[in-house]
Amino acid sequence: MSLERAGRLPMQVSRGCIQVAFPMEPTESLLRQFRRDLLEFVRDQSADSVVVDLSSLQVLDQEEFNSIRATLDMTKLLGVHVVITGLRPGIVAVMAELEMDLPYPAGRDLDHGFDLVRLHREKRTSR
Amino acid sequence: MSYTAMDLHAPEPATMLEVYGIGQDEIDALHAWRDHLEEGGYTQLVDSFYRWLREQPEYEEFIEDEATEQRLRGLHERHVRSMAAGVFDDAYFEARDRVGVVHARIGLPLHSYLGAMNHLTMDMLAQVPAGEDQARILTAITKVGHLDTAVIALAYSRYASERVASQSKALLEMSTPVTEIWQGVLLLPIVGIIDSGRAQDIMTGALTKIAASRARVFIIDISGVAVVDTAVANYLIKVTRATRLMGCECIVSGVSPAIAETIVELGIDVGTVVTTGTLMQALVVAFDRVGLRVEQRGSR
Repeated sequence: MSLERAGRLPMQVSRGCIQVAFPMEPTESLLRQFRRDLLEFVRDQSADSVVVDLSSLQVLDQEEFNSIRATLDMTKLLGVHVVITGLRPGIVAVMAELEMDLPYPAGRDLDHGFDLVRLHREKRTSR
Repeated sequence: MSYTAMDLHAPEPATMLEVYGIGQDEIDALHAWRDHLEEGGYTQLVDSFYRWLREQPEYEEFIEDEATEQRLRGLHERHVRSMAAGVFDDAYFEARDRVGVVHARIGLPLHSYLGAMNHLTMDMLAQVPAGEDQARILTAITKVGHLDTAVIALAYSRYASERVASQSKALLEMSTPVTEIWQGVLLLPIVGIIDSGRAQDIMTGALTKIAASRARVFIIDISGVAVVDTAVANYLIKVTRATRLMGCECIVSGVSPAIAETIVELGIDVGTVVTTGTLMQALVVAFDRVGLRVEQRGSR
C-alpha cells in the first residue's frame, strides 16, 4: 500500500486498485484538482482499476454531475476499470429523476466496490 | 503540345524537331557537313574535346583510368556521328536521354555537362568548312546542339524528380511501421502529427498487414502524437471500426491525461474502443485476447 504524494487529494493504491474519495463540499477548483490528481495518479501507478467513493456527495447539481461524469470518462480512457461506490439514496433518486446516468458498475459500499473489481478481474482472466 | 508540367519525358521526336526548327534543310546541311567530317574531322573533334576535358576538375573525379577514357571516346565519336547523320528518330532521343540519366546518376552537375556540351558545339562549329553552305551548316549545328541540351536537361530533371518521389515514398512507409510484436498482435506506434493523408496511410498500412498476418489484436500507440483533436480522434475511431470489420480488435494505447481530457471535453464518443494509458496495459489486454498469460516464474 502506498500513500499519496504531498499536495494531492488523498489517493491510495492497494493490490493494483486505486481507491479515491470524492472531496467534501466540492468547489470548482477542487473539482479541477480532483480530476487532475486522479488522472496523474492513474498514469503514474500501474493500477488496473479505480474505486471512486462518492459517499461525500450530499447534494448534486448538473455542473457537478457533468464534471464527475467527465472525470470518470477520462479515467476510463486511460485504460483502467472504473467502479463507483457509496452513492446516497437522495442523490440516486435525483439522478434517476433527471435521467443522469453514470455508466459504471456501482457498489453499495467500499467492500462491494472491491468485490466488483475482483469479479471484473476474474472474468477477464477466465476468458 | 500535350504534356503536363509533371511529365518530364521528352515530347515526341516530331514535336521536338518542330520546336527547334529542324527540318529537311537542316538535315541536308548536316549531311554536307558529314561529308566534310569524314576526312579526319571526327578524330579531331574527339581529341580536342578530351584535351579540354583533361583540364577540367570533373575529369579527375569521374574518369578513373585510361580504359574508361577510351570507352568514352568511342561513345563520344558515335554521338557526333549520329548528330551529323541527321536521323532524329526515337532511337536518337532515347540514346540522348539515356546519356543524360547516366550522367545525372553519377552525380555530374548539370552545368558541367552543359558546359561540355557547349564546348563540343563550339568545336563542331569550328569544323564547318568555308563555302556557300557555311551559314546553313552553322545554323543546323546550333539547332541540334540546343535540341540535345533540352533532352539532357529533361533527363536530369526527370531523374531528380524520380528520386524525390521514391524517397518520399520510402519516408511514407517508414512513418507507418506496422510490426508484428507477437503472433496475432500488431503494433503501430505513431509519432508526430496525424493529418488526413497520414491517416489514410495508417488505414491502408494497418489493414494490409492485418490481412497478411491474420492478426487478432491491433495496438495503435499514440503516446508520440502531439495533438489529438476531433479530426485525429475520428481517424482513430475509423481505423478501429475498420479493423473490427476484419475480425481484429483495436486497442489505442498511450492515452495521456491531457489527451483523455481533450477527448472527453470535445464530447467525442469513442464508443467501445479499448483505450489504455500505457503500452504495457495494452499488451496485457492483447495477450488476454489471444489467450496468453504472462506470469512471474515461480521460485523453485
